[in-house]
Amino acid sequence: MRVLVTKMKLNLNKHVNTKILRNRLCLTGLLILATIAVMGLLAPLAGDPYRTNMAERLKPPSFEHLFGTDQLGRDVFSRVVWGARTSMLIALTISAISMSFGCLVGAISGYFGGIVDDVIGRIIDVFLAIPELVFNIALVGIFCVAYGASIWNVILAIVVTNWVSYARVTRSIVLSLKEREFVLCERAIGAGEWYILLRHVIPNAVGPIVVLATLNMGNVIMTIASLGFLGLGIQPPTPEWGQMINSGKDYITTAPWLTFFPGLFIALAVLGFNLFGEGLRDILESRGFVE
Amino acid sequence: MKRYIIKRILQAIPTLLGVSFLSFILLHLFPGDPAEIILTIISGSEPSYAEIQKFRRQIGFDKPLIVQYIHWLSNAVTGNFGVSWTEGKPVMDLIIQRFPASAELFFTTFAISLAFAMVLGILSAIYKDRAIDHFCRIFSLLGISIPSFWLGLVLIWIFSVKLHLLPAFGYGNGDLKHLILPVITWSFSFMAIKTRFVRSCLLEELSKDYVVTARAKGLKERVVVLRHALRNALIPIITYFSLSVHHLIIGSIMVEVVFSWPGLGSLLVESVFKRDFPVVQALVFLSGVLFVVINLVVDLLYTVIDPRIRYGD
Repeated sequence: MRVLVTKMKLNLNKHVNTKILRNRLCLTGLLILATIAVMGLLAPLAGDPYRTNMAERLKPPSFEHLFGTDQLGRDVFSRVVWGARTSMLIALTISAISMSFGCLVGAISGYFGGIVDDVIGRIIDVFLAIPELVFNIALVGIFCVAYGASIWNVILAIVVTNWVSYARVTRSIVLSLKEREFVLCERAIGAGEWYILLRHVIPNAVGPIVVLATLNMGNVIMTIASLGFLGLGIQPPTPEWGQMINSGKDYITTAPWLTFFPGLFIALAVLGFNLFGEGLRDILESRGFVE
Repeated sequence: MKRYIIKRILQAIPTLLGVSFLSFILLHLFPGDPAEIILTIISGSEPSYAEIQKFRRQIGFDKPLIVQYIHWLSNAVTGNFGVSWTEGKPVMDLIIQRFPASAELFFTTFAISLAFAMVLGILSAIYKDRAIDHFCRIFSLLGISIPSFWLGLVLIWIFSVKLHLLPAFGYGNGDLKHLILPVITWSFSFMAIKTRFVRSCLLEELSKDYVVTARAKGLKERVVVLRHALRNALIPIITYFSLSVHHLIIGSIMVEVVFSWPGLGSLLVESVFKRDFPVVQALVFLSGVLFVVINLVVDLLYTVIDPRIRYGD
């Protein structure tokens, strides 16, 4: 029976792969994301984002400096390219942590039910009630005073609000899965509850969670950029898109390229994840994997 | 029905308590001695040991956490969030002072986005898979992808810097010109997802049997869509709109900061920078309470609005 299941999964994968290539939304999203990923990977080729040159301050875009230079004479193009690396790495870290934590909590809540589910459900309600960004801003502020400015403040503050959506979605999937035949079958064979949960229930929830994770990456990138713009995110001189817009906004009358290009890339990255996520959902929906 | 209302109100209480505890605990997240850190922030200099001890008793930090929580909560319920650390004024005064500007922006944006989202959503449902539907899909994807703070700056650049048509910053003491750019910026991202939601709700209603019946009776398409389907689709749409207070609050923070709008969003950010944490705490608490209360009111309104909803027991 296990062999059969594995075989079905392989077929499904093949099917999804070809569908991704045929779905226009998905493909566009994938292309945008691939471009940004390549940018991040090849960032060292784009030059030094930290090198200042006071003789070349606030120069408009030219062949030498594709996106112009900023108030310290740094090359905006290389800062934007390095910014892709910053945003992507931090967003991936945040997503990985909140996904593992949220899915585990949600799965436990849905699978074991009873008082555990009641308590976790209440906690989820509480976190959903407070607008995420309000809570993120408050937490970053407090962490900064408590531990000094660091990238981990931003990561931790976003994780605190971000795990909730994973927990909620996983919980509802697990609730619908736990009475299905293959679970009952395993239980009849005498498998332990944790084994069934980790080995059979969670893997079957992967489809919807992947869709959620893709769309959520877009949100996380937007939140990182928003905190950066407010001056509460990744601190300079590390290149980060939101923070670049924040320091560029004072020069909007004379050097609009300082705000224009980083913002364009935030929009592209978020758009990429949204397109890819929506496309994936269409594909999985047509396969009956996501309700 | 009465029992349902009471049950629903009772259900909201644990969430409210949770929200209040989470906001309360914020000030206790400081490592080591919170009293020392708070006193350092207030006085701006390194306090002596005796001063810290005195301050700790004064603000009640020497008592057990649960006692402090109950004390804080009983004050918070009456709107007393303590005194601002940097302004020396009651926190509630600061919030009330900033509230009108936020409310003005809030309601204008809400009304405009609601109108646009309804019209665009209905159009794209009627003309599904036609040009206008594709246009709306692209429009809403852009709406959720473009950062509102960036859009705001781009609009400032176009309309204030280049065309000199509209003021870029500030409240302008009620001058409506100051309202235009913030409202456009904010509505653009706010109505994006809403448009899609209106579309899918209406499409779902249009696929139901009663619509087929209505059409078979020979009713005009306009009547079928607007009188029959839309009325039923309105219920999930209204819920969704009322529960999107979150998006509005989050958007308000970014937009208010971009346009230096003196509302609650910029109060939050300023307070974080000034390390005025009682204000931050109060805003976290109030925004959570607002959500729970709106959620509750919408649920209760349904028992009145929709005669089909009958709650058993």
